[in-house]
Amino acid sequence: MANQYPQPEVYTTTHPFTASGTALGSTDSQTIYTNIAHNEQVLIYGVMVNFYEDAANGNGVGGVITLTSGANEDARFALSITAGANTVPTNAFDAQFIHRKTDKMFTFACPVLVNHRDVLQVTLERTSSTAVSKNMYAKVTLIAEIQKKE
Amino acid sequence: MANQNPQPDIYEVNLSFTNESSTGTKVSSQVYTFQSSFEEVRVYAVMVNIVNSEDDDISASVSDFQLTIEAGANKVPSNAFDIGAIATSREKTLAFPSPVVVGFQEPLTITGEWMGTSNTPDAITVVKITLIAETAMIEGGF
Repeated sequence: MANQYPQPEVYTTTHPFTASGTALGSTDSQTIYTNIAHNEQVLIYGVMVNFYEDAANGNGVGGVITLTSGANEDARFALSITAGANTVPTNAFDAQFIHRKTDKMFTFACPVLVNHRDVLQVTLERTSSTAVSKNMYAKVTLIAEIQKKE
Repeated sequence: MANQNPQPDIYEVNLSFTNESSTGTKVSSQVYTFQSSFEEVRVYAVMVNIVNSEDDDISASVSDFQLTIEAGANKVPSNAFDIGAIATSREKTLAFPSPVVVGFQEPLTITGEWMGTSNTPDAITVVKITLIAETAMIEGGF
């Protein structure tokens, strides 16, 4: 239940991927608990994606992966958002280009709606057959707000 | 108390993480809004810069921090969120879809937390948080 209407919400999920265990099609899903009341809904306006290193090489632990030369394939993942029983947007979309953008943000044409008791999940799926070059983790941040239902 | 209505306000806090802060280390800072009983502060956006002791940008190598904003007794947004993506973006600013509202006598607290799986590598890492806000009279009286 929100403390104000509308209330800004920023949800971050963390998706770890290991260098040895991330084959094409590997997925990692994380569930977000919105804690909304029955008369509220969550509206998701945009998504940010950032890939971090979890290894000593490159920029080091907690540093951002740099997509050059051999590491170019490291961020090839597709992102999907599940709101309730449905995937919204309908199809998975490329997460790499969001990480590459200078603002690291992708805004939707209209908000994703999440209702009371709808399960909100974020899934990343590997879309390259090349192994990732190092242990890493992706952070997906949903830019949202809680609003009373109209 | 504001000099105009609404009045733009920029609040800056520096969260210093000392040498080899371990995972989960938190640093908090209080923001004093100096608003009166009939005013409220609306925080529209947050800007993040991660620098070393010489004020150089080190966000490429040290950026896995998360941020919590507490307005009064509550966290708004209700969860801590990743600020590494903000710090490494070109604008370094995240605009909220709706403002965080801070009422009179509500403490405004900013907390940064290191989330990397090992200690922070730099001797001193300073997370500079800038809240882009305005002070305005509460609508509908007070």
